[in-house]
Amino acid sequence: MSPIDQRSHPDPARPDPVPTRQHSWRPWVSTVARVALAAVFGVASLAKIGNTEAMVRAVRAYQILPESAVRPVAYALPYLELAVAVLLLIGVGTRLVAAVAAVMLVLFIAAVSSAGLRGLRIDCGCFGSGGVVVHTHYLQEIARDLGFLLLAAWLLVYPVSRLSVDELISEDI
Amino acid sequence: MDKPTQSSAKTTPSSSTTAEGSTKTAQRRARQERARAAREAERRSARRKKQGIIAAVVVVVLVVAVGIGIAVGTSRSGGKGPLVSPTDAVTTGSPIAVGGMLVGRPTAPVTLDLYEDFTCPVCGQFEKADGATVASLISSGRIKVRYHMLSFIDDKNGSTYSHRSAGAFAAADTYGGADKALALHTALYANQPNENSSAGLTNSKIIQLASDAGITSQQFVDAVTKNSYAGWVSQVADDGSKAGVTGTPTIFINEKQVELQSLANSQGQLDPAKLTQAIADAK
Repeated sequence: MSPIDQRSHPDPARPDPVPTRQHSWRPWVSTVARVALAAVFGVASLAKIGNTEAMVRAVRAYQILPESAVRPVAYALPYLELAVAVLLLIGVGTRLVAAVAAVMLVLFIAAVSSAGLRGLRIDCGCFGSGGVVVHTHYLQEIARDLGFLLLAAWLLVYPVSRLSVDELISEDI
Repeated sequence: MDKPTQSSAKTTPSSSTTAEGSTKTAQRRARQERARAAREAERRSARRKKQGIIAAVVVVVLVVAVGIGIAVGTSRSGGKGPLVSPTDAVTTGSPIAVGGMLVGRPTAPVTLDLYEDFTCPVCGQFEKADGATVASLISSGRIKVRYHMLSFIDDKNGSTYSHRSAGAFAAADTYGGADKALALHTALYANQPNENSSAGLTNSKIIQLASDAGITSQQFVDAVTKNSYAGWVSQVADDGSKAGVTGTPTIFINEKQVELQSLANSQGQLDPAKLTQAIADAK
């Protein structure tokens, strides 16, 4: 028996949230979801963290936030994404961190959708598209973010995962 | 609930003989049940406490990350050093005007705002097709142009050329005047590097092109090699984004945006006659 199974609750009417043996694959799926979502947030963060001014312009281009909020949000967002990535990677408070990630993704999807609906062209038009006709990729971006949101949703429902700090510190309960 | 636990199952057989025994057993079972419930409650409270600590740690980490981000961003944006602007910098007026560098007579009836990047290929096409027309309309006094040289392609290809060339253009205005700066603008587009390359033109190549355009002062050379106008170039980029410009080239005639397509003929080629017409129609 694995340590997780030994921890199972003595009272069968109150099953422990820890998975039973017939779902032994589930924590591994959660591990994959956790690491994948960590990679998404990590890559997104590292792409922005070195270029503060470009991030400021990107946030401003959505024309959603008032000018006074543009810089704080642009400065904080890459670091917040990095923190979420690290917490997911090591697996601390997975359900709460997944909830934070889900909220961020919903906000991103809302921002991109609103930019698309308002007909904003948030694209340089300089790479790939040849410039004169500007291609925007709103639908692809929304579809991609919805996929990431599914990962976060899985972790909200099944936060228990293998190879996580959560697993380590729950051993001695 | 009514399933016997391991310990109570052990005691059951020995206590089933007398009524007294069964009462004792019942009392013992009740005690054990209470103790078990107490242990259970304790366990649950310990678990809740642990979860509370984990949640607090997560929240603290996230808040600290936000704090670091804002602190780092604020310190970076404040650390650019003194802002050196070109002589013909436009620092007041509408969001579209601010951040421009004025070329032409201030009294000219029509104003163009051109948002370009020296690395942007479509800007190069616009310059090639319409540059001469723009220059002659400037010298005849019919238009004045506020040039806003953006530099965001550096973010995409890892180059510094967009920034350096935009800085050289500003320095050319200060040390050679607006007309010679415009000549350098033309020369830089005639020698435009590939947008996917991070190399760009070297500073010495830029200095040579400026020299060919008649800008030969040592101060100009120093400004280019020391990148003295870097602060101005970031300022222009920030002002451009505040004006809602997200791509290049973006053209305004009398502060009204003109789509590049509307300046092209039916074959999709930029046609100077269309630009001349759009300027004539401008109110």
